[in-house]
Amino acid sequence: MNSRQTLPYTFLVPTILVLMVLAFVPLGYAINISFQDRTLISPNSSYIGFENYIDLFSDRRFKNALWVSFKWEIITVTSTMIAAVGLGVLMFETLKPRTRNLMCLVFLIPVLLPRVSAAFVWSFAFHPLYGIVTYPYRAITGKPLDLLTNPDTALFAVAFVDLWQWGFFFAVIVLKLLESLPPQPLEAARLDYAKTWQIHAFITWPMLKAPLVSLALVKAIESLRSFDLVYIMTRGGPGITTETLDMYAFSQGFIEAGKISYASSMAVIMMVLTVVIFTFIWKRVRT
Amino acid sequence: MAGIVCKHLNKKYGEVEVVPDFNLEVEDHEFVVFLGPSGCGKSTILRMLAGLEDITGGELSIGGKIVNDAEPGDRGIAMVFQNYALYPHMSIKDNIAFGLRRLKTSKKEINERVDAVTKMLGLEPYLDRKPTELSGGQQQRVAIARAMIKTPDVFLFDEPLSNLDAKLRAHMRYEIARLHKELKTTSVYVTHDQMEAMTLADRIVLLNAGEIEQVGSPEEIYDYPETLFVAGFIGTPSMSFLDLDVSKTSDGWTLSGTGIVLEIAGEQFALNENAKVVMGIRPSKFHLVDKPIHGKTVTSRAEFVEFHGDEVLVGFSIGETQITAFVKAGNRPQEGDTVHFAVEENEIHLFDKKSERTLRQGTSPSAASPVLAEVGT
Repeated sequence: MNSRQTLPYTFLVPTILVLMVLAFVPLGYAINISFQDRTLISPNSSYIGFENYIDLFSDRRFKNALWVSFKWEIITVTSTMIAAVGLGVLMFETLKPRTRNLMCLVFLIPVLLPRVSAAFVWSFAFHPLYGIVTYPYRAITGKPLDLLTNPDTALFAVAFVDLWQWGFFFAVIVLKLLESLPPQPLEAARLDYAKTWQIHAFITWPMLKAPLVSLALVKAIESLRSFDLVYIMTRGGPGITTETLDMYAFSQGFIEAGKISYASSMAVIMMVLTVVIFTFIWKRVRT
Repeated sequence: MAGIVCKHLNKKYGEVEVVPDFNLEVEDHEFVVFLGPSGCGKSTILRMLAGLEDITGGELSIGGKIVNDAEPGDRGIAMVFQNYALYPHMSIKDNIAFGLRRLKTSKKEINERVDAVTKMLGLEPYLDRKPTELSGGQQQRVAIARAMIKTPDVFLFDEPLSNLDAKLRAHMRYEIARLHKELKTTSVYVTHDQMEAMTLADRIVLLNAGEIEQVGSPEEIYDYPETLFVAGFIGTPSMSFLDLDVSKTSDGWTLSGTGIVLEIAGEQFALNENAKVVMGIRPSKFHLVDKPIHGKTVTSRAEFVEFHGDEVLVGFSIGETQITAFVKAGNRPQEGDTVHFAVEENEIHLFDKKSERTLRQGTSPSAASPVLAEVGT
């Protein structure tokens, strides 16, 4: 082998090895632990086969967490995409390039904020007595408004913060996608009597369908990692109404019972579900 | 059908004035070509006509209506773009029918009209294909069909043939000419290709840096360029230019410079004693002769001889200036030979050195058109 052939391997092998160790060792460890009855209380443990998994399917809190996670995915992905497309098109149609760039800069700030900070900021904004978001309601009715402890609104309030962080960022991406389109077909459509909404419905949407779907998929994967937001704003409450899968796994593993093995089995299920579902969606989208 | 009137059209991008003051009247059924080097503002003016660029100042009317602020769709125009601008995800049929569908034309009528235009342009076999499955020439034909089906008052063409290869370009040029003969729709056509301009135009509008250098028929522009710029821009290979001094003689004028003395009667030119002029001669207007004649010929050494087929292009210098001349391939000189070229007075162009405007008197070509009349008969 000459140096030309060995060079790629010299660079690839060590990095891939490191990445594989980082990715697969914890994964293998989690899978291994999920077949045991390990808890944080005692150092002893033994293999119990699929018992953790069987228990999960009769665990109503687990089913609730699955359902909450599903709702969370739907709410955050759709609202982010709608806001992003709406805002992106609005900026594209109304702003001059210079203002656009300024807006893009401003719109990037929320997503640059660590999610923990965003969660704290918004928790305070949602505060029933002092929050700025609840201020108009208090001013009009004179009563406090507690969105985060109301089972009907808590999940939406948390989802709103997620939307605030990602909606603006995605709007910037949508705007850049629109700007990257060749302008002539849009101009031709204007000459072909198309109104603005028709141009976007008939010309830009079909041209941008593939990147937008990928964007939605990225957001869906990102939304799975909602833990920090939920943990700080509601801790899964009130009750278990905002308890997503990762939140529940964490509380089983560390907060309530220290049932490390049980939590691991949940994590493994989550991973399998994610891989299967997203592979399925990805395949569907590409055909 | 409609004419176009541009009055003092002005376009600024921020501080930069791209089109200072554009005045032009395009008559009904006329085929006008905007010709000029890239960046001369011709596309900007066309896009202002189309409504794709805002008009900073002045007044634009199409078909007698002022349309400065009208939407592109409301101006009664159709446009063909350089890169075709087809809707990439739609079939050819949908591309062509898109405009009519927006107007909520009945399905039956759309089908009839699509049939008619596709037949005219020979596009029937491709109706169900996507634009990417077609060649460049076919795509441009689809773009023309999409413009035609709207039966617009005015056609706008923005360098429609620039993306095609040479052979296809000639063919499409012929087709556009044929369509114009058939439809007689008022057309404005932007190009930087003088061949296209010469062959298609009723009138050429020659632009430079946002301003009109000359407006006229292809013959007028070619035979009677009004400015040095026009003279240099039109014609391939381009005209050769020589800086000369003018002096009066008993029966006419002498034009002299390094290595050249020409005697002319000078009646058709407005000449002054000691004036500085620029003389322009097209390569085809040098006539190879055997012997020098004082005051009527130029003499030099052939520096290169380039074979062009029926003719050869001979390069030589007069003073410091490089000159080219066409010579019949049959009696071409060899490189290094001494050559004598006769120059006819009525085939030279004289321009004022300072203003760069023509010195020809009676600039209106109709006044000076014995040459034209001969061509006509």
